[in-house]
Formats: sequence, structure tokens, C-alpha cells
Amino acid sequence: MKVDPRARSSLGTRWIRALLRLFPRDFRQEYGEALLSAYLDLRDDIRQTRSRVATPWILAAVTMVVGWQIARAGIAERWSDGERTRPPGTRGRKEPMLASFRSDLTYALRSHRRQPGVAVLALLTLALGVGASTAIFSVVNGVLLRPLPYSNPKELVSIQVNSGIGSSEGFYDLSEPEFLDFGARIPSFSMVAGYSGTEVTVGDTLSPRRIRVLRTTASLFPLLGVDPILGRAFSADEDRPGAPRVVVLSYGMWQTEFGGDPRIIGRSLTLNDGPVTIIGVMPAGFAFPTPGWDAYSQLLLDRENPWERNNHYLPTLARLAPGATLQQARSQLDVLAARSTNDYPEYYPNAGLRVQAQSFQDAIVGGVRTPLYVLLAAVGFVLLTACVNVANLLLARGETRKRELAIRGAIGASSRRITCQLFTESLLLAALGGIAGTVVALAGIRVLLAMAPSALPRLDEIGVDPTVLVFSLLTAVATGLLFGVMPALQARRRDVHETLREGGGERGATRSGQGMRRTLVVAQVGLAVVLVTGSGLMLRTVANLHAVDLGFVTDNILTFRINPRPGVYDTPEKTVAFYRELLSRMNALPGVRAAAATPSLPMAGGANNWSILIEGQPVANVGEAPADLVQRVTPEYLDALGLALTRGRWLNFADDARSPPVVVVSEAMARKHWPGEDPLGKRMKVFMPTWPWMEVVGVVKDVRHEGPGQEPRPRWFVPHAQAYVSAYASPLTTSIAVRSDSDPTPLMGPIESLIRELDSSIPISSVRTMDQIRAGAMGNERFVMRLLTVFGLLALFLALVGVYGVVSYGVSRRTHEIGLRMALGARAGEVLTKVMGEGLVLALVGVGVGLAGSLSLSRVFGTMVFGITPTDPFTYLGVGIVLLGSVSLASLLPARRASRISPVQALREE
Amino acid sequence: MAGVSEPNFDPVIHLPMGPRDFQLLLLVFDKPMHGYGIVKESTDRFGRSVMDLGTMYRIIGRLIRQGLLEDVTGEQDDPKKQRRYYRATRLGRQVVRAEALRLRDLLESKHTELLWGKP
Repeated sequence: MKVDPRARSSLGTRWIRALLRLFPRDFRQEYGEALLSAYLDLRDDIRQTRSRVATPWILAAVTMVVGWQIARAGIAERWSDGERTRPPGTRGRKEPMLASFRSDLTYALRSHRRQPGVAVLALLTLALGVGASTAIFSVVNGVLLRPLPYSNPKELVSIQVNSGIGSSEGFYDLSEPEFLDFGARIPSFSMVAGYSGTEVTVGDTLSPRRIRVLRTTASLFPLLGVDPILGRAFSADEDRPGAPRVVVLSYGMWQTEFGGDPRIIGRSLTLNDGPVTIIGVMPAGFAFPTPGWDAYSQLLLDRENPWERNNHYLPTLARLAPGATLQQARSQLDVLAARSTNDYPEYYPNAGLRVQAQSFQDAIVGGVRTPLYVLLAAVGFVLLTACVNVANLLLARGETRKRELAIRGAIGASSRRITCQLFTESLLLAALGGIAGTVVALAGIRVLLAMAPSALPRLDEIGVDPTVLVFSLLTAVATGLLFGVMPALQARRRDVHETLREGGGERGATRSGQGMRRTLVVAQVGLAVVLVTGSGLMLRTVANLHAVDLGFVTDNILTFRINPRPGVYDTPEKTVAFYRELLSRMNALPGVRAAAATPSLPMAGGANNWSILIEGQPVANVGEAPADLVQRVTPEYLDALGLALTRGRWLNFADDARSPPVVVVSEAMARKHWPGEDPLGKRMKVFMPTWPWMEVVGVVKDVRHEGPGQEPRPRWFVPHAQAYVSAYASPLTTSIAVRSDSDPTPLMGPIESLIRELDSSIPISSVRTMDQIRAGAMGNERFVMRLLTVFGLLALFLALVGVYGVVSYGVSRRTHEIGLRMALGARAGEVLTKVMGEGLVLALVGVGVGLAGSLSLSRVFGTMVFGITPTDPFTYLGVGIVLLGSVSLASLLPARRASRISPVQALREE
Repeated sequence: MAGVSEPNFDPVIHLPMGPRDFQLLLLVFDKPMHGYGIVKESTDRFGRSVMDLGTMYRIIGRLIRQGLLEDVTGEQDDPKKQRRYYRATRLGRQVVRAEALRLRDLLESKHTELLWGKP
């Protein structure tokens, strides 16, 4: 059976494919693909004839309608198929089952209609529970479960190394020689591809724009198994130094820059001053390795003369050879790493070269797995709490329906029939709840997407697909069974004669019924405690992240990147002069407190870790040399970021290429290299014989450059104007930070025209405030915290409703008894205490169970909390007190009602 | 002819035809058409589509089993190779003709005069 190439997993085709399963298998095998192809013809037809704007909506509607038609036809075909093939005589046996189901259904509808309040309340609870679970599941599904959109994604392996230089923790990208070794000498890999991202300027000098280009080896596209929809990918010949530059466009860029022109192949594009030939266009939805790449170009790796082994910049992906396992690949890599350590000891000191190979999917989403599963578990708890409430509602209703059920039993209904009946009622509720829940989920997903941190991988793949719908359906059915089982069990156990003799009044509620409801409420309070504890931990984590001293300020700072053209600023002197001129004009703008330039802003990535030499601490080779993070800054940086100088002086305008080289170090850096000594006046240099010594002239307070959750690492600062004589180069592309006294965003306009005045060919990109950057750096924690708080409050609310319901039901059941007691002289206060005591017992047991549960689950929070332990006693104590208090309050209302019962009235009602 | 077990070669046994079977066979009476083409053509010729995609393929399946329709995809030169083409078999054409005759006789019979409400 030929598969239509247009059927490449769009949501619509997947939906149609899923529905085709309703047809009998042999029919599907014969006509399935033809039917799908006809649907695709219809779709193409609509695309051609309708206006562009309306098309997505029309397509969605048509897909729904066709889906409905296929489902109907499929069921009809199966039915008639059954009629044709069913052996004679079997038909008679099936009918009563169906008939009884139908009558059960009618009966269930009628009984729900008789007590619409209960049904509506149950439905609302279920819709919320199922909706929230489905929404969270759609995120888990899109990010963690759905396979990556490449051919045989399970064979893709991401490789990283640790060379033994510097920190022994963590793994990073490969160097070129390592990449070449892994490609040639690991038999378990069939292909290896390397890539490296870069930003380039596109277009002429009039409207320059920055685009993101992924430079890759020619092997990348065949390795992923994705072909361009137009043109071709690079050939191996084009991936050599000196080859003419070519580019493969992303679908998005093809659409926005070239209006989807089908004759684009062979045309040229101006990238970074030079013409580049367009050779291909990737399909829509191709987003490797992350969304947001505009084009793909050759890496142009020099295979004969690769860079040094200590230059780790190349993310590497491999595909397992057919039949090979990740385990085999790992042991081959270990052997190769041991050999390399032996051959190049100067590059692989200490623990030597270590390689980490993990599945590509793990590499992408590994970091968010725990938080997402925690959220899924949390929302599952909310669903359970909701189930308990519905079960309680039905149990309470069951009490009042005892008489009805008893009569049905007396006139001959078997207990199995009655159980069936009760289950049908629950399942009907569940089915309706499931449908309502799916609607809630659709809204919920939009909210989640708006809230989700932008750093969440595969964000664009989150949505409703058949898996999500099946999940929603299964959740609804499972909840239906779950809350249906209690009332059904209870009904089974009942003694018909007993019930009828009792009269089935309010007073006659069975002990076991009330006991069951209490157990449920205890479970509910316990679940709420677990959730509230989780949200408490995350709240404290986020508060701690906010409170942590970053070493710099984030308010009223505007940042952006600028990219002057290398052709114009071709010497370091010109670069330095340009920045001096630009910054002096910017600092003169009204409203600007300080404007500074640096290639790497805090929490925005891009740090350089360089091998250095400390005077008086000789080392044998580069492998033994210490390595620390360098930052090249202009003198205004101290004021612009609000750094605190603790000793000596900061960099100033006199520190340029003609003056003696200087460096300012962070406190951690001073402690690391000059422990117990005064670092001022000490000297250090980059690890290259020809570069000069730099004198330490100042010390600044530590900066949490990598983010609020990361311990500050040692750093050293050199003047941008001097860096090309003391620290390799004065970078041409930098970020600018502008600090103002109030909201800095209005400054962007004047700044932009100022830059245009100076050089109209400079593109500006990544405009953000420092507060936005900071919020982004805490995105995951905030996302988890907000959701857990919502879930915690929801569970708490549901639990309070549950407690209120049970206590209040107990009071109404015992109105007679309480009235009698009061007639005999019991005081209102006594009644109040007694009833509240009942609620308090529930609360105590529930909170106890919940806290124990939280403690045993606390381990999963290990990597997610910051500044506290997952067993933080204050959080647990606080949650316990809050829960006890609120549960007591929930039982106060019915208790007050009980204490006001008038004895006369209570007795007269009998 | 795929899926044909023992076609009944007597056209009369297939009469009267279902209206949609009749219509579908009419559309593919003299030229092969693919699935979506049939839907589109029926819309163009009869004003609105009288069958949906799912139902149409059920009918196609049944007509093929009855030997009235055949899959002639192999004979077609179509750039979209996944499309399947169908055409009425010789028996199918005979049945359509017989059904048309039956309908004509029915419409020309005395009983239908009542329908036109002669003055």
C-alpha cells in the first residue's frame, strides 16, 4: 500500500487516520489510503480556491465534518460486516444486554434529572478535574511522550564530553578532532553530524536584519532523515573549506522573506556582505535543534587541519547503526576516550576524557522531565480529590435512594442488575464530565501555553492530538468507575427487609455509609495536604530565588544586541573607537544613567572559559592550567549593572591599548587563586606565551551571572578597549545594557535613531529589559510554582467542601437526636464542641496522613527547590496549621447550625 | 478485479438499485474517476453532493464485491500515485442501463400521471 507523501503527520491526517480505525481491518487495508488520499485532495482543493485568511478555519471545519462522516461510515460498515459474518443464533443472545443497557441509560438520565443539583455539581467538579488533567497531559505528551519528528528518533544519540580541564562536573560540546574521531572510529554509529549556531546579517545596508543560521555538516539532514521540500540539502563536496557558500532556508523564512516563491532555488541572498546561493527549503515544522532557526548553511569543517582539542564548540548528534544499541556505543566511546587520554595527556588531564552519550530526546527534555511529571501527578491528585467529592455526593444521594433501590430489589431485580444500574449512572456522569472536561482542557491548554516558560523545549509541539483525546476519555471512564464503585458496593450490601422496615427516612442512614464517607474525606484532606505542601515548597523556592543577592541589579535596565559589519570595522582600533563614540553619545542621552557594552550579559548565556596563568604558580601544560570565566566590558559596566566594588579600583577610560594591562577579579576568583592574600597588585595572563601579564587592580562582589539558582563562579573582567592587546580580542558584536532611573523602555526610540545616525547598517536585536531576562531565568520554577499553587488551592477547596458535606450531613441526620439531647438539658456550647470535634478528628487524621505522604514524596522535589530542603520543617508545619484551621472552619458552619436546633421543632418533625 | 468472488452475471438480479449506487455507477459509466473526483463531479452535476467520503467508499467496496465496479488504477497515468481509480465493469454498465430502463418505464407508466396533477 502506497502512502501519500502529503499525509505527513499533520494534525488533520492523524485525526482522519485515527478514525479510519473504526472500519473493519480488511476494509481499511483495501480502501484506507485511498480514502485518506481523497481527503487530502479535498484539502488541496480548498487551499487553492479559498482566501488565505479563512483557509485554516475552513480546513478545520471540513476535517471535523469528514471525520464525522468517516466515523459514521466506519461504524456502519463494521455493523453490516458483523451482520454478514455473524454465525446464526448469536444475535439473540446479544440483544438483552444492549436492551438492558439502553433502559439503564434512560433510567440514569431520569434519575439525574430528578436531582439536577447533584448532577450539575458532579459535572462541574468532573469537568474541572478532567479538564485540568487533560491540559497538563497535553503538555507532557507534546514535550515528553511524542517521538521527535525525525525518522526513527530512538536511534538518535546526543554526545558530549568532559575533557578533565577545569571543573570535573558537567559535559559540554565536542572539539573538532573529537568529532572526527567519533565519526570515523565508532562502529555503532552509522552517521555523525555536528552543528553550530550563529547569527548573521541578511540583506543590504538599507534594511539589515539579523537571522539565526545553523551551520551543520552535510551529514545532518540524511542523519535526521528529513529532506527539503524544494531543492536539495548540501552535498559532502560542498562541506569543505573553500567551497562556495550555499544555504537551505527554513519554511518560515521562505514564506516571510520570499512569499513562498517556488522558483527560489538558485537565487542568491546577501549574508554578512557576501552572496550565498539558495539550494533548498526545509518542510514546515522542521525545527532542528530548537525552533527559531531561519536557515541552514555548511559548517565547512577543515577535516585535514581541525582546530585544537581544547576548543569545545561543536554539538554532536549520531545515529545508531542498524542493530546497534546505545550501550554498545557507550562502551566503544569509553574505549576510544581512554585511548585519546593516553595519546593526548596534555589535553585530557585529571580524570581524562569522559564521554556522555544519551538519547537525543533525553538530551532535549531531560531537564524538564521531573517538573512535568510532578505537575502531572499533582493534577492527578486534584482529579482524585474531585472524584472523592463526586463519590461523596453520590453516596449521600444513595442514602436517600435506599428505599427506591430496596423496592426494586424486592420486586426481583438481581443485585447485579442494581449494581449495573448504579454504574451506568456514574458512567453517564463521567462521559458528560469527560466531554465538558475536554472543552475545559482546550481552554486550559491556551492558558498553559501563555504561561509556559519560553525555555520549555518543544513548546510548539503542545496541542490536542488523538493521544490527548484518548487520555481524556480514559480519565473520564476511570473516574466514573472510581466514584461509581463506592455507591454500588454500598447498595449491594444492603438488607432489603431491614431498609423497608426502617422506612428509608433521613434518620436511617447506615453506619457503613457514613464510615465510608469519612474515610473518603480523610483521603481528600490528605491529598490536599500533599498538594499544598508541594506548592508551599515551590513558593518558598521562588521567593528565595527572588531574594537571592545576584551581585547586580535588574530593575530599569534595557538590553539589546548590536552587530556592526566586520567589513567596516576591520581593525580592533576601529571597533574600540566605534564603541567609545557610541557609548559616549548614548550616555549623554537624557534619562540614561549609564550605558555599557559587553559580549555576554548575565543570564543571557555566552560565557568564555579561558585557560589562564597566575604569576608565581607555574604549570606544566595547558591541561594543568586553571580556567575561569572572562568578561570584556566597557568602564560604564559597573554603574550600568550596579556591581559592587569591594577593593581597589574599577576599570576606567584610561585603560586602553597604550596603558599597562589591568584586570578586575571577583571575590570568588580572588579566593581561588590568592587565598588569604591581597590580590591587588598580583598578576595573571591568558595561557599563551606571547600575551602580556595583567595586573589585578580591583575586586568586585560575586555575580550570579548564570542565574539566581546557580552558585557564583570565579570571573575576571578586562577593559574592552584593552582586550585586543591583553585578552585575544575586543569583540565587535556585543550586548548593550542601558540603565535608567525609571522605566527604560521609552529610551529605545532615541537610542535606535542614535545608532542609525552613527551607522545605518547596524542591526539591533534581542531587545529585552533585565527584569524580563531575570524572569526568563526563573521561568521553570515560576511555572511549576503557579500551577502547583492553583492545584493546591483547588484541592484544598474541594477538601473543605468534602468536610463540610460530611459534617453537615451528619448533623442533618441527627437532628432528632440532637433535639432530644437539648430537650434533656444539653447546652448549645456542648453541641457545638461535639460536632466540631467530629470535623477536627477528620482534619487531624487527614493532615497526619497527608504530611506523612508529603514526606515520602519529598524526594522528587530534590532538584527543584532552591534555598530550602524538600523536607523543610517550616513549610510542613505551616501547611499543617493552615489545613487544620481551614478544615475546622469548614465544620464550624454545620456545628453552629446544630447548636441552634430548637428541641421542640426537631421533635415535632418526627 | 480485486475483491470479486463470484459476480452474478445476470443484471436483473441487481435491480432495483439503491439511488446512490445508481448515481455512482452513472458517474463512472464511461470514464475512470478517483475518489475525490467522484464526490466533486456529483456535486457539480447534481447540485449538491449526495454522498460523503466515508459512505462513498462503503458503496465502492460493495459495488466491487458485486462485480459492478473495478479498480483500474494501474491503467492511469497520474502524478499522484496514491489515488485509486474506479470504473463501471461491463456488468455494471448493463445494470445501470437496466435500472435506467426500469426507472423510465416506471415514470412513463399510468400511475405516475397522478404526480403531475393534470387539469
